[in-house]
Amino acid sequence: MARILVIDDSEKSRNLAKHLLLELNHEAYLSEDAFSALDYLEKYRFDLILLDLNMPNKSGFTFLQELRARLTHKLIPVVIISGRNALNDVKRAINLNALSYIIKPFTPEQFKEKITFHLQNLGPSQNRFEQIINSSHSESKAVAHFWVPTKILKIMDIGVTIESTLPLSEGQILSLNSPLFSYIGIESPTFKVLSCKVGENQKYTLNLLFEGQSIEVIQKVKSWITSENPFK
Amino acid sequence: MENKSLREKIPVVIDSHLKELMPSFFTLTEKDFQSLGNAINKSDQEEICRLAHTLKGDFGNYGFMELSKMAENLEKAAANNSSELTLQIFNEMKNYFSLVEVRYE
Repeated sequence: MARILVIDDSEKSRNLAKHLLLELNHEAYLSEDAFSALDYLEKYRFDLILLDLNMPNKSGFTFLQELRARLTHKLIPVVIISGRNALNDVKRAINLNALSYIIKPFTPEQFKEKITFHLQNLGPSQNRFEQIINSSHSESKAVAHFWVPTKILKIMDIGVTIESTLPLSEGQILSLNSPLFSYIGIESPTFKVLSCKVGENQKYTLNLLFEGQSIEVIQKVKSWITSENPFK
Repeated sequence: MENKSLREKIPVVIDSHLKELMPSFFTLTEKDFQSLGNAINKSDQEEICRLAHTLKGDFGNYGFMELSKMAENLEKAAANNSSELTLQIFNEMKNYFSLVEVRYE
């Protein structure tokens, strides 16, 4: 069973979506606008959002853009459900990391098939990613430092990929020291281990998520990646 | 567009999965028509377009394809500032809706 948030200004659309989601044994939360949706998002973790585009006060696009700017909500899978069928709208939605774009009208069967397909194909890593991101309240109060040489292979605005000689468990908290962070203009950040894979050379590739970092820090990383990266 | 001014019922076949939603669908559509009528009276083109667009999707999703098409034409007429055509389509749509007789498959 998945927990799904339906955001649509039309009560008929919300009723229909809820009815069909309940038939699929999912839990449906209904929002008539972006503002009440944000309230729900503060309180609950959702597996999927179904988002209408044409809404008064705040459009679906504006809502999605704002959602993606929030670290805690940036990876929530969003399926757009709209009567707008212009290619530009679809492209814009995909650029905002929408998982899919379902054009109205659809039959109940089409709707159920698509939702089932998307939920089955979210993949365990994405679900885990979300759980980790949403549990951003855990804090590290380490009393000792354990230094292991590592190499940062990739930096993203949600975290880093490193190569290490030591495996770490998923969910483990650690901090990294590197001149890279000085270039970016931030202090050594704290991370949480998302995944750890062993490579052929007996080294481990770890995906780490920024943990407990402010929006300002994330913005600095983002801006460094997109414009100021001297290693490009 | 076909003139549905005659008072014979218009059978529309709807997915039986949606049967329990039909009472609220009819009530809410009547409310939408009131809002749309108000927007037309005020010549509020933006609101007419938004409401017509929503009706287009809702009618289509519930299986009222002819009404969905009418709502689409209404949206286009409003977008083109054709107030006479907007009103004409709106009246046809209301008339059609009042004659609908739902059957389930």
